[in-house]
Amino acid sequence: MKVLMIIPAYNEENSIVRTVSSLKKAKIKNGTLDYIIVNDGSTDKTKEICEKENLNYIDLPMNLGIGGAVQTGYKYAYENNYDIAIQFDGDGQHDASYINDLVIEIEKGNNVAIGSRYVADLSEFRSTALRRFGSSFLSFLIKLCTGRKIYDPTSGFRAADKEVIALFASDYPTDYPEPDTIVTVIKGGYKVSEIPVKMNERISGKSSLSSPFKAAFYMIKVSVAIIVSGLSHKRREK
Amino acid sequence: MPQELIIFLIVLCLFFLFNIWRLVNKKRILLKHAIFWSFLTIAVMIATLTTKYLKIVSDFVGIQEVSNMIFLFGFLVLLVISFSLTTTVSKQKMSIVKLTQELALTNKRIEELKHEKSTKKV
Repeated sequence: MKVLMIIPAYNEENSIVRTVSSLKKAKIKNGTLDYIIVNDGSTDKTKEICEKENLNYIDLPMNLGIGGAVQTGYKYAYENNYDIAIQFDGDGQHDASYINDLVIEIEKGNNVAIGSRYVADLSEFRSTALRRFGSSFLSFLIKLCTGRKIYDPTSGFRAADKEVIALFASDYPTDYPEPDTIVTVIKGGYKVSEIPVKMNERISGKSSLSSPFKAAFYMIKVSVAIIVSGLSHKRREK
Repeated sequence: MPQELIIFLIVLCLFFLFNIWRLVNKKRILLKHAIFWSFLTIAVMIATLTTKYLKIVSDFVGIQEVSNMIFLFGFLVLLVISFSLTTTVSKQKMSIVKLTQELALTNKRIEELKHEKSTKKV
């Protein structure tokens, strides 16, 4: 199994080196673990640091947003014939020790495996009540559209198999990719599984939903995105 | 309509037409869009010259005042134009995303090839 970690990075000069070195410690049972950083037109020294530390990176000449950056990683995975691609945040929130668990889920025959904060018993992730409410509302919407309960729809820690890599390389939403792609994938008849993971507090940088106004706006837009994806039927060709 | 106003509007339209084609010559707007705006300007000019007959049209579609009909028409045209601009912007955004990604991936490939070459030399 050739596994690629996709690390989207926008202004992560303080955490990118630590993120990559945490990956180097991670072990998977059988196969190789590579990584690719996608520098999303950072305005800080992210690119210079990648160059200096000799990290494996792709440099987007301008900022595309999280969706466009992650898709670049999937395209890279597709071109280089990887079996599994795993999204991994550049800000240190994700824990590399769960990578093996995600790989095992894919090896079991799932097309997508999501590292979830809210799956039972493992809810140590400190989160505000509002954030939890937002998340469970999105869960409810996804359940409504697909009939599947996804506990952590906004988790960016997820693995995709070869088939889904090809799908994402050709078609990936730019704006609110996490919940949106879950619906697309479930509707497409792919197998999705969720495993519990712990997530860390971010090392540096701020949440993109810092103000309540932004958060409310995000919720409305994501909800619309979920419903639109839920209504379109694109089944996978077998 | 008073004679002066008609002349003023016609001059305005002619100036606008002239400007559109000047921009086409300077390759600042595409011919496709210029044709649309030219037709619209010519339609406005015809309407200005035939205000008497417009009353017949507005009576026919059931709008009491000619001015109301023109406002409605203008409003609808603007809506259509701004909507088509939205589709254009969306399409361009998607193209830009794709181009940016392909450029970055190609650059990466070039770097890798350079690296392979330099390691082979050693």
